[in-house]
Amino acid sequence: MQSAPLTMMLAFLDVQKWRPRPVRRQGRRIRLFTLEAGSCEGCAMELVSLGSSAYPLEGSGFQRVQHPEDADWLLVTGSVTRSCAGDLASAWEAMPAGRSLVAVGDCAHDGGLWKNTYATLGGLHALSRVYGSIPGCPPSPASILQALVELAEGGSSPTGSHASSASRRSRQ
Amino acid sequence: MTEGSVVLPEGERVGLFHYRVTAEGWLHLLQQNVRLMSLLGFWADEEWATALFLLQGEQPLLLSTAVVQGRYQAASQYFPAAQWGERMARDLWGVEAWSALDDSPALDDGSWSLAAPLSARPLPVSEGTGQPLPRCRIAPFRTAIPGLLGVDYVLADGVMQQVEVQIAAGHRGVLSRLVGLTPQEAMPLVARISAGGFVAHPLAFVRALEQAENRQIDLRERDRRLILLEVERLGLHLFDLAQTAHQAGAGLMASLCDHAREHLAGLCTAHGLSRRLTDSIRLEGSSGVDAMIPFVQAVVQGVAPRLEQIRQLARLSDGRLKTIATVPTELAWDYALGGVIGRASGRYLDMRYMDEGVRTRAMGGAGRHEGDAWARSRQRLAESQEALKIMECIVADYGAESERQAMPRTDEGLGVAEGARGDVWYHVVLKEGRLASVQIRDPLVPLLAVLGSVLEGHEPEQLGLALVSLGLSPAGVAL
Repeated sequence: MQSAPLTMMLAFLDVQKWRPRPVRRQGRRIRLFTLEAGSCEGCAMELVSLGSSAYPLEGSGFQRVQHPEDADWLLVTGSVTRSCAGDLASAWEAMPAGRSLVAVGDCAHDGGLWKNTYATLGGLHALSRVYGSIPGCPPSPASILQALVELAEGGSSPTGSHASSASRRSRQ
Repeated sequence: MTEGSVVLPEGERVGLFHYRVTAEGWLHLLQQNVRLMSLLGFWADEEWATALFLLQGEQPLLLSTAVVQGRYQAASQYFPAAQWGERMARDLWGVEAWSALDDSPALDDGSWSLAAPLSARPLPVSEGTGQPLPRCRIAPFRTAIPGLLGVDYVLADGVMQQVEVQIAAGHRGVLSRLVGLTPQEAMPLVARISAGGFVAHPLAFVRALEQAENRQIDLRERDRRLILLEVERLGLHLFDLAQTAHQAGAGLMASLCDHAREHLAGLCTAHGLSRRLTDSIRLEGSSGVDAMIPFVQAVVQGVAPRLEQIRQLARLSDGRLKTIATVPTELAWDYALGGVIGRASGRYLDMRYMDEGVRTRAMGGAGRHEGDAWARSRQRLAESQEALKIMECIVADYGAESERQAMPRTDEGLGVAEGARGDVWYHVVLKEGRLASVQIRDPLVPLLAVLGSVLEGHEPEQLGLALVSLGLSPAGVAL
């Protein structure tokens, strides 16, 4: 059994060694608020992973925030259950001007496998114009980050046709 | 007639483990056998109310009674774990349980466009006229877990009391989508019921179908599935360990777990699987990939040293996890709490022992009794290391013969898979090759009945740590 300081030092060195290189991009820091709106939770878990030290989210010019009032972009996962529609609207309303809506995953884009039913509204595209959609079921943290960087730089995302067609559509 | 030590009233046997009894027989059995069997799950539709029990010797028993004029005698008055199933049946099919412990809505929060949507005659609901649930102090998307769980409580002397939870926000109408599909059409949906079981859910479903159709699978396919289940266990345990460490302020430990999980995901893609094993279980053809042995070797080689490092570091944050969200042993047994939660609380049941081809020599029966976040983290670490041993054992005698039972085709099947978060059960009924009925029992169901009491007495600031330490994934229950 190693001593506690040695264990911590070795772990720290490993985490430093594994730390991914940030994706350099131009422009200001973009603050992200994530909202799960009814899904298998796969996309929401990938967003959690994206926020971990295994991915260079902060180093790439993004910051996760705890309140929509502080956010520039609203990242939505899930097919938008009717129950969540109110929370989604409230979060959107609370955001400051210049806000953007980004659908993360197939469900958030168009419902994915969960189209319009008695309980779901079938994704954001049926409800609102979105700034960008990141396809995948679930999309990997790396592909989410890549798409976010491309959306931030104002270009189309190569991660899929949804992102290409939907990018930069709506800023309010 | 008897099943184990349980004496069943006269009834009709309709499946391998399934009996139908009269209303009197139902009540008699519930009253007489409270101490002899555990209630795993409960569901009801417009025709039958069904309870899934686990008897001594880990033998399942399905017991049904007819629903008459939309009513049946509640099971929850004798088995409180049935309450969420009764509430969900009321919302989805409009059937009511007499003398139910709780008859408040569980899924229908007034936002649906139909009332009793799975009944033969669902009623349209005009927008804004549904009956809303009371608003929670913490909105469903605000808790520390990735899924939707509303939490309400009263603050007394700085701690939470009268804690209640809601899962309605996450209801997607899964069952309404599944009924009427062929099993093959249902697979993509079942594969996305819960990220807490991208393997466990479809595996339990496929096993139920194979039992219903009396289909035997190839021995290598059996082993591919067992391997995938262990890889998923590793990934989810690492996720839960990381979230627990993060909430406890143990950032370095969280980082190690996050990196290990992403390394595992990378190994999956490098060997032709999806990162989180979505769609890796197949109804027909081979699950996973053909070259499973090199995959397992890479996983063992890549993850084992990281697990050892995590184990070393874990002891440094032990103190922050003690006494958090303690699940007493008695509660674990009374409510049949499975998975890590059960095994960290003195209920050492593991449904993997029921699996055909299980390598019991690799399973150490690790278990704890403390029941708190510390015990669960220790249990996850022990089970992660055990998962590597199980995979090594499987590849050592890949495709080995095992005892097989020939069963008759009944068009009804019960399947189980011991996922990372506990035992997932599926009950399916086929009619002309399509799903006439599907019922899903996720391991979170029994926990919901006691979650409030487990959280009571904690400060609101401890809520995030308590929830993530339990590894909750409401999607599998909200459906």
